[in-house]
Amino acid sequence: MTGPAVMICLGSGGVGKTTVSAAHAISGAMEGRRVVVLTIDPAQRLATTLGLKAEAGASLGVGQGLGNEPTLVEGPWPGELWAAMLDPSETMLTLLNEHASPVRAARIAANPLLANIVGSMSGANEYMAAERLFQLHHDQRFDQVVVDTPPSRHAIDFLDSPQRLTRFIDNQLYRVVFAPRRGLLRSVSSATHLVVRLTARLIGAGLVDDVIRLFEDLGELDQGFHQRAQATVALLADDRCGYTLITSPRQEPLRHAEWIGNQLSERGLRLDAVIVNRLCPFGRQTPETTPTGPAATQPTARALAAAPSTTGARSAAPVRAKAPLIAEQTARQRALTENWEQLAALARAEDELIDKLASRLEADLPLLLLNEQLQPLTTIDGLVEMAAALSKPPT
Amino acid sequence: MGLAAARTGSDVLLVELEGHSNLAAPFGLNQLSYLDQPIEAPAEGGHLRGRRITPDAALAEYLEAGGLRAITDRMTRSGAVEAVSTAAPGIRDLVTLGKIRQIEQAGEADLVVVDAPAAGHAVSFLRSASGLAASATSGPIRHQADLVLEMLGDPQRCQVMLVTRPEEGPVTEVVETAYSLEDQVGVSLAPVVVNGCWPEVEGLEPSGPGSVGGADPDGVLEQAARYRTGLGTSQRREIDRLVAELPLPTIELPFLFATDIDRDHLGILADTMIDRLEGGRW
Repeated sequence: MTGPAVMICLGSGGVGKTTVSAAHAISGAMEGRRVVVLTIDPAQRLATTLGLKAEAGASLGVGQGLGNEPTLVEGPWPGELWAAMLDPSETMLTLLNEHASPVRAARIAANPLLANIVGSMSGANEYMAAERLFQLHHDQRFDQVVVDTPPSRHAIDFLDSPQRLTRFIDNQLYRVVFAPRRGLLRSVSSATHLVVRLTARLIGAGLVDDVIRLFEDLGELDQGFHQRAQATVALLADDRCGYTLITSPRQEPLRHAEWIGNQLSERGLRLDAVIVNRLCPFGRQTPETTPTGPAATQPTARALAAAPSTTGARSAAPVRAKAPLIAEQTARQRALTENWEQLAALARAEDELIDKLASRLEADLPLLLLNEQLQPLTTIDGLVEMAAALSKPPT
Repeated sequence: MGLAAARTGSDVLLVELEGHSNLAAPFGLNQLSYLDQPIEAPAEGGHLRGRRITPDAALAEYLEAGGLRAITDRMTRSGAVEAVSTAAPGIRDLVTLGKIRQIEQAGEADLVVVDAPAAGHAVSFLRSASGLAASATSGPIRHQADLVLEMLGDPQRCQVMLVTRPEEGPVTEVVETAYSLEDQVGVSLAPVVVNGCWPEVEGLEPSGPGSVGGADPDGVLEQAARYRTGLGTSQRREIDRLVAELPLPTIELPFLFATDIDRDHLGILADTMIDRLEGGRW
């Protein structure tokens, strides 16, 4: 299986997106490719996931954690695995230096609003992530880029960010409003100045001056800046780019995932797979007779045929023999039963959600199920196992 | 938290911000609107109300309050507002916080509970006021920022309640967020809530080394028991780490074996919170 050149992992917080991204990257490296996984996670979770903690770093020959520049991760794969963590400011500076004269780049970098834009999470980080993705995609060292997207207020912000920025810079209205001193627009009417004056009155003159200066400078940037943003938009919409939607078996992340899925299809983007992570491992595969009570409490082994694309990844914890029927209920046996009933009920509720999800997905869209992992996946071995489950062809 | 406070007799306003949360859903209501609406009146005497404050609505209200209703539309249409709020994104967060402050000052509720953005955004959301205070040296935005900073810095008026789960990533993140909030925002921190703690099943651990795995170690009951005790051990380890790394009291809320939170679940969680907070400074 050869995945797309760029794999973008989307999903809400807490569904294990970082772990699944790392596993995706490993599965590419297992196939002999040179893969780089990019995380936007300031909590350094990818570093943790890849075992690149400070103490582990020494043995792997890397420094503390991850940075903007990819780090090679050693492991039992024929290909190469690299990992990087987005540094929005550094990416922005690289971009500016590439597309503006040194004087202008320095002036933009010194504008107090730039730090505000780059430091805030309202779209700029997403844009920098898209830009970094573009840079890595064109880096000859890598065959594939896997992106662990930032936990946005709206997960889809990532996709719209380059457009938003170009639209903003291109905004003719903005130019009319805020750049009336520029040559072309010298004839601008006094009504426009009124708007500027009123805006200044509302938010403060100093701030408006900074905004005007920043956009005069951005507006004068090399055409390359603009073209780059357009190329990034094009890459995100291209066939080289695949999307994986990651969710967990809970109402809220599932609703969110469905929303993201709709947003993708509205944009004509290709969804490669849906992954439901963190399942209670006692559903589906449960034996026909449970030792605990009436048939009504059994997890319904509803035919997976209903969702032909579903893999059996859930069988990671095979449940083999039937437990013997226990006549006398000791305290421990009561505890065992109580626990089993709780887990089975949870698994049943999860299975119902998954059935509902499967019935709404397009028939040829792979739906992968992954069990909750008891130990945090801080070892390469655990990730390799997950990677194997991910690259199993859908049945 | 809102329901717990209402059940102890307070008038509570729940505030939802932009994003995908839907605070009203467990109460069987449609999505909250900008207007204050009743949610529930517990028998105990308090009231629970709710509203949704989006930056756009708060900004429009802010502009109108400046006596500029007539030109608000024109400014919005001309792209001026969008241009400024994209260039200085903190403005959207600041007007939201400013609106919350206004509600607080007007005494519209005994307690205002805000469902703030998740960890990564929480710090930039709350830092918006100090960020803008630094870049706007005068003018109404500066004034607004100062008022918000005053509220954030006063533990009698405002506290942040961090919520996490007993897992490695979330615990690491909440510890970092707590220190960032303290360093960069200076807001006072309430007890940390650890949500989704699997309750212990008494007697599930096999007694004595001879009985490990019980009579049928491969049986589904034993597998389930090992899973449960393994999960419990790992959760306990993370809670211990949280307590060791963060000098704040914690409130553990139980996992309820459900895939969705309904009104009954909220009742259980609210009662648990009341139990834990009783006798404390709350």
